Amino acid sequence: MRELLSRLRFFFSRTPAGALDEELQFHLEQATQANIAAGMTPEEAHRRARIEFGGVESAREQTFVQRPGWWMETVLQDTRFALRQLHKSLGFALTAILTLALGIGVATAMFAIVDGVLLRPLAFPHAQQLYTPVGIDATGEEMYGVSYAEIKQWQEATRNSAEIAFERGDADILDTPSGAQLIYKETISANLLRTLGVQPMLGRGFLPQEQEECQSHVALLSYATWRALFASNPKILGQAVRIGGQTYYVIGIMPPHFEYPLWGNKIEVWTPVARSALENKQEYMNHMPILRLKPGVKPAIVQAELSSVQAHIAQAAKPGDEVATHVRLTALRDSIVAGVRPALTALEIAVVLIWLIACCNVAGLLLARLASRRVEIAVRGALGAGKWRIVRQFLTESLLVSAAGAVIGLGLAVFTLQVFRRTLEKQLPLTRNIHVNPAVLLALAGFTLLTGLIFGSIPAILAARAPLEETLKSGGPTSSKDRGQARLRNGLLIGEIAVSMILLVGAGLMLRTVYALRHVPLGFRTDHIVLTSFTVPNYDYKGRDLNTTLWDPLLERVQHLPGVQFASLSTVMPIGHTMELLTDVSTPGTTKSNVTAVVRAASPDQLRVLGIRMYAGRFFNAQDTPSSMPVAVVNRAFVQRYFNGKNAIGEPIRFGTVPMRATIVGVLDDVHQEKAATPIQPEIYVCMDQLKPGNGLYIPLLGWFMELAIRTQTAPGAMIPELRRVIHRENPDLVAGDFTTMKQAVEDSIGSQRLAARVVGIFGGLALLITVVGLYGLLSYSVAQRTREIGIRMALGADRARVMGMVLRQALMLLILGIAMGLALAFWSTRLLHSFLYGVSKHDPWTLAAVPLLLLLCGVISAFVPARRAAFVDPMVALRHE
Amino acid sequence: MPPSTDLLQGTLDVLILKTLALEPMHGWGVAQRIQQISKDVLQIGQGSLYPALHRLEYKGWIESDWGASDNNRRAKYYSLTRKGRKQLEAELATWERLSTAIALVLETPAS
Repeated sequence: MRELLSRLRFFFSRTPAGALDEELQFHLEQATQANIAAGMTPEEAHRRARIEFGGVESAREQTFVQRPGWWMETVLQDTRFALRQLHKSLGFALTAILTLALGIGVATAMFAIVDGVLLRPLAFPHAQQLYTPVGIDATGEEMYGVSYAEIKQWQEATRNSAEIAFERGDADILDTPSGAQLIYKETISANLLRTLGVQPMLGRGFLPQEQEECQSHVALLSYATWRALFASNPKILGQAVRIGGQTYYVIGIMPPHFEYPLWGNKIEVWTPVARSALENKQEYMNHMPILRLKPGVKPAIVQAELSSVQAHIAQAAKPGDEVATHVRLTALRDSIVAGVRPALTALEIAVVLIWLIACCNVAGLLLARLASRRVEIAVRGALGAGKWRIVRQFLTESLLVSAAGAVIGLGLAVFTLQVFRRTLEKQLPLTRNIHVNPAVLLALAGFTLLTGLIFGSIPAILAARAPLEETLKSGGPTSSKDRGQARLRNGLLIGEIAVSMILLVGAGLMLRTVYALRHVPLGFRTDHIVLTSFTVPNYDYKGRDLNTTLWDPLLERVQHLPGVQFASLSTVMPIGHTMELLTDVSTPGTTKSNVTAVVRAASPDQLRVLGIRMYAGRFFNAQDTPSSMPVAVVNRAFVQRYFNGKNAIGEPIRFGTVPMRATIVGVLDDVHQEKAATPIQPEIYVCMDQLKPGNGLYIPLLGWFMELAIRTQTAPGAMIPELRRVIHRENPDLVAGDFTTMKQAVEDSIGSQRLAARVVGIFGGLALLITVVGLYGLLSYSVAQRTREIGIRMALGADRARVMGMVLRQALMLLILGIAMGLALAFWSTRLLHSFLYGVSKHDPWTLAAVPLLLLLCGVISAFVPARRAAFVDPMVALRHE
Repeated sequence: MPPSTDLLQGTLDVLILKTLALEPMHGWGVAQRIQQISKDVLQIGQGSLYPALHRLEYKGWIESDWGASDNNRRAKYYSLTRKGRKQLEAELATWERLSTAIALVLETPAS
């Protein structure tokens, strides 16, 4: 430490170089004087003194080396020299820096995502003890949710080894000072917060008796809910709020970053599960359990305990019941990220590949530069620079380049994450953890150093090994060693081309997938439609007819707005919305027993709004009233599946145990209801107006959710604010969800494929760009190096076309080798993408043909510039060159 | 950095320290003095004298000051610091031990 301080002191208070000179001069003079005193002539005395003294320069240098700051000075010197060198060849420096910035930038952004989603510990104390128990049925399928009866037995069996809590969530309506608000109400067991190890930020958590007593209505608000809907008012504690028509007392506010379940930034409220609800048959199923191991307990033990209990439960179950036969424990994080891990891993591999391409590229550029700097290095060596010093010089240069690349790359990473944040939030869990944090910065520093070392060391070692005399004698790069280096450079470039191939093939397949998805005939029109959904406050309409008091007036109001052509209501509108009501139906005409179909209610204008065609019969109209004959319309898939495609019109339908019959009056063309890529289900529409309170389908079809579709005359997006205002004024209690256009909804339904296509497309483009730059750089240097040879060839009669052909042939050879290698790799690696593909084979011949052509085209274009330069070499100048 | 174990360099250092222990001196003076006292046996090459002087200065064993020489020229005078005096004592003790040991080995009569 003292050593360092002393170094620093001398480093900053450097003695002027003149002082040393003066000192040495004084010494010489004294020696001369002494010689004169000994009787020599002044000239002789001076000469002798100099001889005795020896090399003044060497003495001076030796003295300088003693300086403690010397080492640092040489580093500065190296840096200054490197900067000068880079400035001198600005094209090279910019190419290398930008290439690296791209490589490091995408690597850093991707690492931030992987770190946030896959690596960073969850925000619970001792999160590694948290597990999700999942029931597995006899066929090995995971079961969704667990019944309370099962959880009770699980808790009993693991009394000493673990704590089990559970939760189930529903959309619900919260009345706030500013109107009704759609929220997510998570009903949780009283021990959930304790199991997670979290405390409310204000107030208290739930007490065990609040789970037992059916009448204690208490609630915890999420921080976001508190801030957005109650203006962060701490007085809300102890106050009553209305959720879903029931009164709850707010007893606590959760901390800002708490979310459970761990997905998305929903507005959440937690209430304790009430025993009455647990024992109520309707809410019996579908609790999501979570488990914390007691300290020192192995997960395998708890899994065995749970499985043995579950085996008993399965034995006792009635035949035909869907019961899990055993239980599997999954670490909490794994259960959340299981769906995205393969995709993230594939993307991480992709960015590592890009980073490698970038490094190879810069290594190639440096190697090429080394060839042209051979003489300079030899001269430096001859002037006394040690091998280590020369190696260091090169390392300094490459570290400078990579540091600059890293800084720009960091900016790029931050920017990329910013741009993609919203998309990421839609597609990934735990996005809250994604930012360029110290861990990511550390990774960046590591990348930088590694990049600098990797592509700095190869040229540096080669430079130091080069024999001085030979280079100085030959005056230029001619030796056989050059051929070895050229081979290395070519190898690097072929590898780059191959890796770009892989990424481009992936991008091509994803683009084809998105294209295929966009061109699936959906069965309805997507233009000029605005969509919104409602969560129905049915508790406010007890004893009133929803049709006459709520839906008819709303539809009436919206229909008469200027710009609205038609409007219709339906339980579920096409695309993206997966909430469906599945019922058993029976008709005398069916050829199969167990008949199930999706049931929806709709208003008469549904077909006109969506532009769906009738296949046979008619849709609903104004004559279908509660007093007329109940009617239903089915889709072609229904007829295909249950009537073998025969005529279904006029057949009666019964809906499970509900005492309702309807007659089929029409058959609709098939419509892609959920996603373009999913097969079409059998569907039944019933007429909204014919449903009356007391009908078994009335509440499920009209009283929970309802969607509104509007066909507009002008651009649909522009109508959204007006619609939102009108609907709110018409009925402030009715909570409208997001407003969107049908086009947007269709786009959103292929969101994950679009994101994948975009990301892989960007990666492929980057790889292509970097590779083309690399090819250009390599050919440029090779032409510059061969100027003399080209000059001789031209002097001997080679014409321009032939010279150009020579350069282009070199490029083509590299491209073809790289493409061949890339094709082989791509053929194998596209299986990583398999689950993302739709409507295209993973060995799609079009993609596998188009990508090599694209690479070839870009490669030849980039080769054209150096080839032209070669062709216009002036033989006279070239021969005098060097 | 650990003290250099190089015998010659270490020896030159101790010679310089010893010389400067008498009085502050400039580089030329140091070389002359060592040459005189050793009866011309030890002639210090200037190529190693000045690096050594500067090294000792950086170590804080000697310090320098510009003063006027006998013939009224500006010259750089070196003098021993307190740290340097301690170092000299330590080096002398080491030298004592080492030379005694070497003497013992060398003076053993050859049989």
